[in-house]
Amino acid sequence: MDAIKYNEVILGGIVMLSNIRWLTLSLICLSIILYAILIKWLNPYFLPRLAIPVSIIISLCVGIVLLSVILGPAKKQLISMNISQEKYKETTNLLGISKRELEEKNVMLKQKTETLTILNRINKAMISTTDLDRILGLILEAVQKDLNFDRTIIFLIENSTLQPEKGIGIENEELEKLAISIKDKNNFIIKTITEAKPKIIFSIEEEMIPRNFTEVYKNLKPNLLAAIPLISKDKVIGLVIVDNTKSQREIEEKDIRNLSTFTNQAGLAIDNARLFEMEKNFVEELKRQVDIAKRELEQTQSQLIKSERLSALGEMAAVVAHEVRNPMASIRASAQRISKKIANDDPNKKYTRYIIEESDRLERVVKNILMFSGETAPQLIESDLGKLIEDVLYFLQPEIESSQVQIVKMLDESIVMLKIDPALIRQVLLNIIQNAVHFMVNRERRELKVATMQDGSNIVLEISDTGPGIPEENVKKIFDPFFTTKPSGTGLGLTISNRIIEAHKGRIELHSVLNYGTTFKIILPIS
Amino acid sequence: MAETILVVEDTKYFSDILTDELKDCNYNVITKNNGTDALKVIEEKMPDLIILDVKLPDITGTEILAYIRQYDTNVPVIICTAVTSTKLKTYYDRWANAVIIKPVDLDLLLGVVKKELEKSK
Ligand SMILES: Nc1ncnc2c1ncn2[C@@H]1O[C@H](COP(=O)(O)OP(=O)(O)OP(=O)(O)O)[C@@H](O)[C@H]1O
Ligand SMILES: [Mg+2]
Repeated sequence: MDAIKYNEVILGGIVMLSNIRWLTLSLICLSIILYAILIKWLNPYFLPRLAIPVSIIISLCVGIVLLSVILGPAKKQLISMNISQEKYKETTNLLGISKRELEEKNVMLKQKTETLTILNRINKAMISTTDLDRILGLILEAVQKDLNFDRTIIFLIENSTLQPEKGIGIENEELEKLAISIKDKNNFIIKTITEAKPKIIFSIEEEMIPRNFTEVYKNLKPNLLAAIPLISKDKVIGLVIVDNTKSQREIEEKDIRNLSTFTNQAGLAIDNARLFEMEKNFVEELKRQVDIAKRELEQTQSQLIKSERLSALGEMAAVVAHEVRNPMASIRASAQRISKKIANDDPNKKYTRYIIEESDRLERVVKNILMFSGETAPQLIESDLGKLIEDVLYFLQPEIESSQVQIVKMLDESIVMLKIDPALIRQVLLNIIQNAVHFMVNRERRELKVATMQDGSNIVLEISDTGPGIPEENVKKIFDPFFTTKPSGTGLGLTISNRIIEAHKGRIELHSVLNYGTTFKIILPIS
Repeated sequence: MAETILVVEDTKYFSDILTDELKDCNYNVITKNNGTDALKVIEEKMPDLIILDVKLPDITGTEILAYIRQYDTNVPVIICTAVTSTKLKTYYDRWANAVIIKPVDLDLLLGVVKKELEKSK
């Protein structure tokens, strides 16, 4: 509008100027004509010498008066023309500014729309995926596309450490180095978290940078590194660190503002994904525990069935034992009688010995079955414990030698006679020492220690090995019937041993250290 | 004078062997294969020593032991059985002089017999 008006004024000015030209010309003509008329008219009254200058002066005066009359409006027009010109300039200026502003607004609008689209994508992803890694990826992608930092790294707080989760523009192995403790309150990263506000590093001297960061963030100068907290539900859950240390392009407040748009949204998305993951883990953990409980239940059940079977077995074993032992008594006694009757050099003598020995072996089998399956009373006889140990070690010598096991004996000489069932105690020693030797195979150090000592009213028999030890969870089970970790074990050895010692009113104590060894302590009352 | 030993044992072969073995050692041996006959012997005249099986066709060795101890607390009784329980064992430990589990070693049995006879004199 104004522009048009000013144009009119200027146009008016130009028309006026061209008119002035003609007016001045006609004025000069008019002055000359006036001069001619005045000379003619004044000649009769004045001297010719005087008439000429008077005429000139008069016509000049008239001319000037007329000229000033004509030029008055022209001058006005000229002034207004000047003003309009200035105003015009100003207007075009303003016009330019507003045009630029418009363009800027357009760009910003475009950026905003893009940001919105990306936010929308993150949102969508948030709804469609609960995969933390994917959400982190999306956020990084968005930040990279929009803001173009050299590197962007997302850190999350996990049990008081700030863990680098995912980054763009950085190798994974470098990323892993960036974990820092949340307790290190002095450094700027943790400060960003506690203050919950974005931070650009303006001065490297004033801010503390974590030591493990210096390797990754080389060539650090002011305004090249910034940290933006990730916030969800008023809580800082992590942060995004961006830097331009490579391109050395300074990070502006504007960049941080834009980045904040993402981080606000991202915080929520990450938190949600994490919650979901936790829930998923929780469900999985629950499932695992249910599985364990189920397995344990099954185990107890099978153990119950086993023990039930055991008591039935006990009854049956008693019957079998009775039916076996009676004829065995006749067989053995008959052989013994024959053996007594015939001379020592009789060739049949060895056959009677075979019968007696085999009967005894069978009797041992019966005894063990009884021992395992039910109760039985040991036959206590004054026996030499030291000799018994030597016997067992001698009996096991081939096994001990082939396994290259070193034997250390520390026997208390003062213990001579002890009221025990030697056959049963022998069985216990055999089983425990056999286990010890078995579990020392493939061990670097193979040392079997057998020691006896008197402890008040008890005799203590210690058998130690340098085997792998018994895991905590198995310690309770090793005396259970059928519990074995040997590929071909029966799992009855310790069960029987324990019963035998209990029948002697004693007990077995166990001391085992993983990867170091196991000690079985047999404690027997003296009387 | 030879001591009289009562053997109460229902297993035919084993009682046979025991009798022969004890006779070889110059004991008087009375052998019975059931509880009723054994009690009759005991009522008539108490033997010097009794070897008692537990599982018998009519009454148990445990009952015979109880009967014996009503009249005589001194006569040595050796229980000779195939199976025993802790409960019975405690009972025998109290009332019998020895418990021997079958199959027995004859020499061990003879040793116990000799020892108990000497003790009871
Ligand atoms: N000295 C030992 N060192 C490490 N583990 C042992 C030792 N002794 C016993 N165990 C553990 O206890 C389990 C039970 O032992 P146990 O003697 O009852 O049965 P087994 O040795 O496995 O079978 P079997 O006696 O029939 O060969 C073993 O399988 C083993 O896991
Ligand atoms: Mg074993």
